[in-house]
Amino acid sequence: MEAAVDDLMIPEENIRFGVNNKWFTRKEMLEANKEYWFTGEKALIRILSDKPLEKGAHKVYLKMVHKIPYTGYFGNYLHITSDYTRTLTLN
Amino acid sequence: MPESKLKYGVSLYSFAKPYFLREMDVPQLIARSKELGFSGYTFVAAQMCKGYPYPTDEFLDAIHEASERNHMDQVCWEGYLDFGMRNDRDLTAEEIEEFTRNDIIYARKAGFHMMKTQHSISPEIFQKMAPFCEKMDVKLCIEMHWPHYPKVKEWQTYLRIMEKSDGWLGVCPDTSIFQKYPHQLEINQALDDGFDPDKLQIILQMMRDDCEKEEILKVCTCDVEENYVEEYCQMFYRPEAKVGELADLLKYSHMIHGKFYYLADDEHDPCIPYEDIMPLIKKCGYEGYIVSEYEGHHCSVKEDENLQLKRHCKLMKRLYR
Repeated sequence: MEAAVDDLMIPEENIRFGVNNKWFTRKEMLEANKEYWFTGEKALIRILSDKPLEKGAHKVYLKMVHKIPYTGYFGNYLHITSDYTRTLTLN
Repeated sequence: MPESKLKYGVSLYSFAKPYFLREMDVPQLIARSKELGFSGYTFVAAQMCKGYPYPTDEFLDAIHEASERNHMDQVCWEGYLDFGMRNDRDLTAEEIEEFTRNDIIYARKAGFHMMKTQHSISPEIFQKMAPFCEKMDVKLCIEMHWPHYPKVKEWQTYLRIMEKSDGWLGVCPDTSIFQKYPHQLEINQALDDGFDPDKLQIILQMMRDDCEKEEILKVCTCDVEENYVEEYCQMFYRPEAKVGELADLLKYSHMIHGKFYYLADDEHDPCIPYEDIMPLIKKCGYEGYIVSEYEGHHCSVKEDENLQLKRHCKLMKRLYR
């Protein structure tokens, strides 16, 4: 997973992934295989920073590699890489 | 006239679109299934069971209550065996056993007496599960899904294990193993991707005429067309599974997945040979459920799954008589 705000890449240790009312570091996500990101539910990304964002428009970039265990067996699985950039406004 | 031995169910996976869009929840889907003419249902627990793999009693009670209220049999809790769910490695045998036990426990809590798993469970673990299944009063079956077919060596081992399990272990044949022709929604996708319509008709006729793949490929003039022909020939052409072989599976079948993708107004399936499958099921005296599983939503979300399921139910009943 990668994230950037206003073209500034966020260090991995400052990214948290939120599902099921819990927050996970990337390292914790590797062990969180009993947490199911339920069908149709939105995950939240939290970014830790010493510098709060100023009000106004910000360019937010996210990239995720999604492994789909149902699509294969024995070490051979489909991985889908998706990325998205959107301008979000902080009011 | 003797009562039909075959029972008609539906996989709630057929309703993936309205469920994903939050238009209907599981109790509503159970009620809808009854309205469409089915008497039982299965559901994919990981898809529709909030909190999976540890759903709440409240949720389990709600689906059990909806099943009783609508007089719907709870046919099967369809578990996932997410063999590759970890990032770094596949699950160990011990972990697979524990996930399987967990599914069986929750299936039973919800009121199901059957749980479906996948062939990756391994013959050793499958066999090992039998005493637990008996203790929990939950049968365990493995889905035989394309690209598998009865003569795959691994399945010969599984069938021997089922034979010795006093009925606790079985198979769920998925009729996709007999698919012999691309369905209309796939054909539509090929057209959308630029497959020349005239050439596509020629190619589909060549498939019906049992032409060799090399001959069919000669009709293609671009990568898109060649790629589709390769896909069609790999997935839907001259299937390894023969309908007659279903007879040997029915003895061990806990249920049958009645796969389909699209039925037009004529309520005929040109892809999966139900006109051969249904009489064989009747001839063999199979008494369980055949569960309609609509998967057209993999290719198009424009179709009405209610209409499709009604047509499939009618198709199966007509051909079983």
